[in-house]
This record gives sequence, C-alpha cells and structure tokens, in this order.
Amino acid sequence: MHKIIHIDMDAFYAAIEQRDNPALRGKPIAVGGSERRGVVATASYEARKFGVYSAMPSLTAKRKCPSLVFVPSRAAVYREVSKQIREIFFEYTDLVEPLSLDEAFLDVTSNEKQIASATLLARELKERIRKETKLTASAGVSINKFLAKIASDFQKPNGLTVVPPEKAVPFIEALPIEKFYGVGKVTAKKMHKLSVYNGADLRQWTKEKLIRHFGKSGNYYFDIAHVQDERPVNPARIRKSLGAERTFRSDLVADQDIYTSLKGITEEVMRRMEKANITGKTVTVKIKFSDFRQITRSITVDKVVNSFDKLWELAQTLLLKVDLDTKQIRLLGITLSNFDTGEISTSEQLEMEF
Amino acid sequence: MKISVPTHSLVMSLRKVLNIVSPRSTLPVLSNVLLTASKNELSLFTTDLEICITTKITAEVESEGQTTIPAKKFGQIVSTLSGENVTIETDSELITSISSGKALFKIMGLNPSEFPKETEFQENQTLLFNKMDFLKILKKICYSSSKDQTRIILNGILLSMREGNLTAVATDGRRLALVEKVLDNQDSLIDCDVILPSKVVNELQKLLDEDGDASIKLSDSNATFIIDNTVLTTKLIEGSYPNYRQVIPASFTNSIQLPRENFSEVLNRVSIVVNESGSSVKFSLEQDEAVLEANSAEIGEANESMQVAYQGDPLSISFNPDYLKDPLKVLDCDELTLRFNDEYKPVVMLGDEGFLYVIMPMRS
Repeated sequence: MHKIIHIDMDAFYAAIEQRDNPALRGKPIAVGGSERRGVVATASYEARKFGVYSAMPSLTAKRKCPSLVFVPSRAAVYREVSKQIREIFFEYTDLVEPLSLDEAFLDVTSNEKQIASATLLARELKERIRKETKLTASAGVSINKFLAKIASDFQKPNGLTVVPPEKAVPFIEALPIEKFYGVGKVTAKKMHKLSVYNGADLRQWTKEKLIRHFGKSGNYYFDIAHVQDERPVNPARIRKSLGAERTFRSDLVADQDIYTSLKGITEEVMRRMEKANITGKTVTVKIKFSDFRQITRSITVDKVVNSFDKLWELAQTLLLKVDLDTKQIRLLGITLSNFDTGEISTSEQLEMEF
Repeated sequence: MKISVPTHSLVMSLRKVLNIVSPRSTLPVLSNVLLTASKNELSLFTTDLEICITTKITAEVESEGQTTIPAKKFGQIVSTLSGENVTIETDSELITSISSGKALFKIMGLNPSEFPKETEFQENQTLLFNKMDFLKILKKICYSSSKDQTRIILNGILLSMREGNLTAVATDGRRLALVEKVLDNQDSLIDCDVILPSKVVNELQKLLDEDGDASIKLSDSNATFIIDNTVLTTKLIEGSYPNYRQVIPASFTNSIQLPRENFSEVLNRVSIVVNESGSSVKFSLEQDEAVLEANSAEIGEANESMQVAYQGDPLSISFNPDYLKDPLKVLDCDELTLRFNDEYKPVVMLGDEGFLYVIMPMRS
C-alpha cells in the first residue's frame, strides 16, 4: 500500500504578491491580465469570494469584483519560490512529481525521515513551507494519486485531508461526479444525463458500459471508482507540450465552422498556457477527418508564442497548409511545445529593422 | 523497359534526387521516382511540385520505357545491393524487378502518366559560374538564413545581380551574411533579384562537389541549375527581400584586426560555460587587449584575453556566441576585421574577399 501526499499551494501567485506587498493583503487581487485584457492567472481568496477564478477573462473578473486589483505576473519569482518548496520535499523523498509550479505529488511510503505516519509528515511539510516561505499549502493524504489530489482540494485554504484506506470507498461513493479529477464540465453533464451524480452511482456501472459511453476514458473512470489507481509518482515526468482538442458531435464541413472552432480551441490553449505560465516556440495543429485519418502540421518560430494573437495567427497559417477541400473534420486540436525554458536570460538579442 | 547500370553510379544518382521527394505529399505519385530509359541513358526524376530534379546516367538499355517506383524504398534497396550491376525491368502490370547478384526484388509502381511534367519556362538570362566558387558563396552565407517558418522570404537566400556584380545575402534579422562577386565571362547581364528556397540551397551544396562550370537559367519566377548531368529547377520565393543595405552601418568609430583561427579557438573555449540558448559572451576592448568573457549561473565562468592593436576608449559588446562562431568556420582568411560604433550598434566582420557579416549585439 502506497502513501501518497498531494501538496497544493493556496492561491500561489496571489499569495506571493500579498506576502511581498503588504498593501495588497486582505484585498481582492488578480495576478496576470490587466483591467482591459487577458485572463486571471490566480485570484486571491478575497477575490474568490466575489466569484473570480483562474482563467477568467479580466473583464468578467472586474465586473464581478469592481474593487479587484490587477497585479502583473512575476514569473521568475514564482519559479524561485516553487524551487524553494521543492527543495523541502526532497528532504523527505526523491519521489516528487511536480504537476506545475504550485502542486506536486510525493510518494512517502518510505521516506528519508522514517516518519511512519503520512499524516504527520504532511503536517510537517505544511509547517516547513509556512515557516520558510510564509505561504500556506493544502495537503491531501491517501493511498493513491487520485484520492490524494481530491483530498487536497477538500478543505482549502490551509487544509489537511486524510483519506485512510478503510475510508477510500465511502469517500469515493459520497464524492459528487464533477469533483472527480479528470471529469470536466462536458463529461459531468453527460454523466448527469446517465443519472450518475456521485461515486456511488459510478460504481454501479461495468467497465464495458463505461467504455461504450466514454471511450478510452471509461477505463479510467472505472478504475478510480474502484480505488484502482496504480499510477506511480513519477519524478521524471516533465511536461513537454500543452494543448487542447475538441471532437465534434457532427463533423465540420464549412470553413466558417472550422475557423470558429479552431479559434475556440486557441483560446482554450491560451488559457492553459497562462495558467501554467508556459510559453513555447512550436505550434502544432491536429486534424482528424471523418474517415479517422489524422494529420498534424506544425510550425516553429524564433520568438516565443506568448499571446493569443500570435497563437491564432500561427494556427491559421497551419490550417491553410491543409487541403481541406470537401473533407469533413471530426476533431481539431492545437498543441504548444518546444517550451521556453524560462531561464531568465540576462541579455536580449537586438534585431535588425526589417 | 529493361536496363542494366553499375550499382555504384545508380546509388550516387539516387542520392542526388532522393531529398527532393517530400515525406508528406498530397499526390501519392510524388513519393516515387520517375525512371526513363532511352538510347543509352537512364534518367531519374523527382519533384515536390516546387522543385524538380533530373539526373542522367549511362546505362545499357535493352528496351526503352518509363515507370515510377517508391523513391525511398528504391534508394534503400539499391544502397544495400552487393552485385556490381543492377538490372531493372518493368512489366505491363507496373511491377518493376530489380536484380543484382542473386538478389531479386519485385516492386509495385504507379503509372508514369500520373507524374507531373518538368517545369518549363522561358529564361531571361543565363549565367555561367565556376562550381567551387558558387559553392563557397553559398557556404559563406547560408547559415545566416532564418529558420523561422513564418518569415518565408528570410528562409531563402537572395541572389542580386547589379551591373555585372552578384551579391548573395542571407539574414535572420539578427545577423546578416553577404558575399559580393564580379561576374565575368558572361554574355549579357540583366539586373535582377531572385530568392532561392533554403531546400534548394541545401541541395545545391551537395551537387556542387567538384571543379568545372555550371550554369543558371533565370526567369522572374523560376531558376534552373545545370550541373553536369543534373538539372534542378525551382520556383523562386515570391516577394521582395528586405533592404539589407540599410542595416550595414555607413561609418564606424573603431576597428580591430584579429587572427581568425586564434579568435575562433578562444571563442570556442570561453563559450563552453554557456550552454543554454539566449546566453551571451562579452567581448571587451581595452588598450591593446581584447577579452572574451562568458558565464552561466549553473556552470561558472570563463575569460581569456588576446593581444590586439586598439587605442580607442574601453568598450564592451555582448554577442550570441553562435553568431560569432558561424562565419569563422567557413572563412578562409587569416585575419579578420571587426568594425563597431558602440555596444548596441551593429558590428561588421570582414574577412575573405567580398565577404561582409553584420551582427546585432545583445543588450545586457
């Protein structure tokens, strides 16, 4: 039996800004975006009370919370703090799998400090983080990644939720379906239609039935519902690409529809890029036709793609390369890769004027 | 069609045409090579619709004819054959038998009538050039062209003909390499600019492998290179090349001379400590001394000084080390000249006759 801890920093970027600037403490703030454009990368808890969330367009956020203060993002600082926190993790175990700057899985089944209770260890980690960075984290402790991740989200901020092995099944049974990690809005809706509202409902379904309705993901839903998540904490897991794709209920034929859909996906990728604080230099468009033939087209540019306009321009360029003719499109996707390592380059390359 | 050719010469000829075959072509037949046997020759033809290339080799032709077979597979097969000669025979079902020694392959082909025809155009002028000279020009500039696929014009290289002079230019907007050469022994010269796609520049460097002459036929939209038994025709990149003259400073406040090989060695040594892209090396000048310095947070630092004749004010300029290294590898001269104004203005490097390199510094 594994002991897994999921640590999730509370409103990470916003908390750092409030820590470093006393004038922002206690106020609703949004990191990233500006009053007029962009999207919110992180909202402080004060802002969340007004219904402001990550990836919300700035304009919407400002409408929901007129006193919202927009703070520019300081990526280098967040990376530095993230590194500091990771160093703490490494004192306890090498099995650390960072999911992003502000969250990570730790496998503490056997740990450097010989702490037998994962709960005590999680408490100690939270305490160390608070002391050394003046930031709070929420922790989830359980027997697999899925449960630990859900648990860390259970009482936020500054929470500690433990799902011991004997509580795993009741915990899942009581869990609303939309809280399942990996179940998005669309899937949740579909589940609701099938009268699946919580883990207990999900557990009534056979694997075959789930696969029939949800394709490959059916496997995953079945496994997590039955506490069968054997995914190891993988310290080598480094994100190499980031993207979004959409399968259409009815195949797209008209250029107008294809462009509109592609634009929506571009917006989604941009939201994810902003959330993960990632920029890159290679953009790939994936197209699956109605006959299931799949093609990809990619392009690499010199300057990092860090704005919606640039990403959209490249996505359109790539689409133009494809002979769409009268073909019907079943799936469209956009991926960003070749990440900018974010190494803070001390010098800037000057350009010629053309 | 039935022919026999020496294996080695077939391998060499295939090498010339294989790279033109695009890995993802819209027309299946474009993955194939068109083989034509007539009189005592076998010709191999490939195209990606932008570029087409034909090369001819002497063959024993038993019966004339034409077929197409998958180019990459054909290349793989021929390069592994151990027999001295290869016999190629096609039947009426478009199946091609390839035999050599005791090996026999039967490869399915596609109808040659589906193959696109060679691009034909009326040339405005023909230039004659020495193959080695032209190769050197390409080598001295091609590394500077842009790899950014959104800047199609800068992906290519410019050949500009003005009053009997040729200027070849490549730039990615951060550095620019240029070679000027007087065109002699030409019949008549019309002023014109052509932009060659980078793929053609790469292929030409493989074709221009020995001494002798070759010719270029030019029109407004196409260029054909005739190099021995090989004819390569390409569409030109449309559009106008940026006004590259404007980035070459008209005057300089300072200038130094450096031994090329020594400078290259020092640069290679010092830049060992920088490994991620985006890092710079600092080039500082003081009284009679030049110092190259580099450092990176993870590894450490390095510096090395060189003696130079310099009397100006102290000056430090930062560069992307690769932009300095690239031209040093392809120049032949013993001495380099660097000319500059201040730390953020373009720096010019001169060396071989007709060569000029502009490099934009980095701002620390």
